[in-house]
Amino acid sequence: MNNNDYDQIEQLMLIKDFEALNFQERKFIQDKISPDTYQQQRTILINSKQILSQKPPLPEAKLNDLQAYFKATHSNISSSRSATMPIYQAVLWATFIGFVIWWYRPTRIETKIQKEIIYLPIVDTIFQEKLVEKKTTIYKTKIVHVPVLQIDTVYIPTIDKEQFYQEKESPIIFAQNTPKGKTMKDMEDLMHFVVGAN
Amino acid sequence: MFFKINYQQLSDEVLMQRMSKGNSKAFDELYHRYYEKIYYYFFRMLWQDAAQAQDFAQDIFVKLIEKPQVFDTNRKFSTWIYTVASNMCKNEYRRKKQVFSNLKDCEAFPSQALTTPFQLDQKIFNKHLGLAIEQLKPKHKVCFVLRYQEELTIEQISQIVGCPEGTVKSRLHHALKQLSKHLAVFNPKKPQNKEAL
Repeated sequence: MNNNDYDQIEQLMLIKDFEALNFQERKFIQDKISPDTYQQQRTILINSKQILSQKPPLPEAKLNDLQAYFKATHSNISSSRSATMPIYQAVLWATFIGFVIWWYRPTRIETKIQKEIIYLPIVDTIFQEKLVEKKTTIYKTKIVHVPVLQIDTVYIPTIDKEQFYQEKESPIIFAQNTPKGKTMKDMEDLMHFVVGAN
Repeated sequence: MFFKINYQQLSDEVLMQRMSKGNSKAFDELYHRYYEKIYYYFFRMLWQDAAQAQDFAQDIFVKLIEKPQVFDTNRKFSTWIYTVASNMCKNEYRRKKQVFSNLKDCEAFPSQALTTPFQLDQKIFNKHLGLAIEQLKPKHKVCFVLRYQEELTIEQISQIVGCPEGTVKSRLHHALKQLSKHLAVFNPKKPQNKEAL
């Protein structure tokens, strides 16, 4: 029997008697082993499976002992780990971990933009353009430069209605004290200057 | 943890990882899954000695507790534990220097005079078949028991014993031939048995 055919023959042995095999199966078997051998090995296989499946009662399990041992072992491992680490190693580890944390610290702040839809009551503002006429008074300022005459002596006529319209009867009061008097023509000009500039 | 873990749904490998971290529930689950199988495997491999089988089954779980790191995470736990069990059996065979004598030397084996077809009794046949299985060569017996008791595939057996599949088939074939040779006295169609008729 070729070893590669073992599983095929085994399957047939476990399922069928030699008599129950079809033509092809018989031919396949007879190329490898004789029908007697097939039948004998079939009996052995079936009975072996039956024998091996017979199981004596399982003795009382010792799970509790194993559980206790398991707990004891693992607690010992954890306690021994913590006890055996020297202080300098712990310090070195702490430094190392601190350095790693510092090295991998976040260098930029990530801003997370979250889009939120908020429904708000909409208030429309309507801008209305309105033409308003506004009257403004613009004052024009005109600066007139008036030449200032150098007057040495100013004769101020005293206007007296009575005297003015009294004509010749009333004495003419002019600056009699000053020898340099003005003529009437000069006075007229002067009056024009004083009373009405224009 | 807020959620209760259902350990029955976890794979063997995950349970083994958890066990190695000190999870006792994972260990309990593995124990319930494999203790019985391993016990009966040892029982069959170690001459049906119940006490020894129990000790060995216990030992294998003690080894799991002590050195969970020896579990090769690349392998399937079921094949791995049978590998460990098979190695323990091999060591035991070496220790006892068990010599697997031929069945011809076995006194319990029936004489030809008793093996007429009329005297064939299923119980006697099974008794002697059991003895014949016990006395197979260890390398044949391992394959035979794994195949027909544990019902593992050829591939799984090849992983357990660390041999190619062809070798496993060859060993199974040899085991079957050996058994049929030693139980030939029960076959009435064999020439010597025909004479006995």
